[in-house]
Amino acid sequence: MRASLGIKPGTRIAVTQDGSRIVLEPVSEELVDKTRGIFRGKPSLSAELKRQRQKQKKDKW
Amino acid sequence: MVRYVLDSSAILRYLDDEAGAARVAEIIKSHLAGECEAAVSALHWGEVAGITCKLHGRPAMDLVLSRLSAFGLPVIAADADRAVRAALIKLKLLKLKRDIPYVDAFGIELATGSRDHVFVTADFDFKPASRDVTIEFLPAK
Repeated sequence: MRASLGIKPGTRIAVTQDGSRIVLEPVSEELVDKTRGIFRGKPSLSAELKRQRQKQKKDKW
Repeated sequence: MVRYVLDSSAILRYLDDEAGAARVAEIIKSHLAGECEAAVSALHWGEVAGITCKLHGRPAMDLVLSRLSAFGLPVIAADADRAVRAALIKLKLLKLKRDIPYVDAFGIELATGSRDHVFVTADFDFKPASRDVTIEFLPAK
């Protein structure tokens, strides 16, 4: 299993929860790519940040 | 070694796979390979958490924070000295007629002190700060 997942001594492991399951995934370039766009096609986080920034700009010093 | 400071806009672009996401992924991969260091201000970390939770719920927030933590991105806490330096950065930019949120001044502060430190953002409001800090702007589109 270690070999097929590319796990070597020192490999970091990402621990996440999926419902009632605990998921262990080796940290790799593949996981970085898998995380990129994890919310693709859903309401934009960046757009929400922009909205919040506009509100914060009204808090003048 | 180059230290990239990722702000919340950069991380959110990566999670949404919007413009600049590939560049952020590249920085994270370089960080994992030990070729550079990528760090995040605790305030921007909290902002990523809050916005993700607001839009997609707590489980999604937990998933994202676990993943980013597993990538080994140091989250730099705001202490008294940093808070004062961030306040001075905000005031300096105010004098240039550019108001940035205080939370963003913490990100800029992390990238000061060395030209090897690069602040990575998608927010062009930081333009005036590029006199004092190296800034890499992610593409607008």
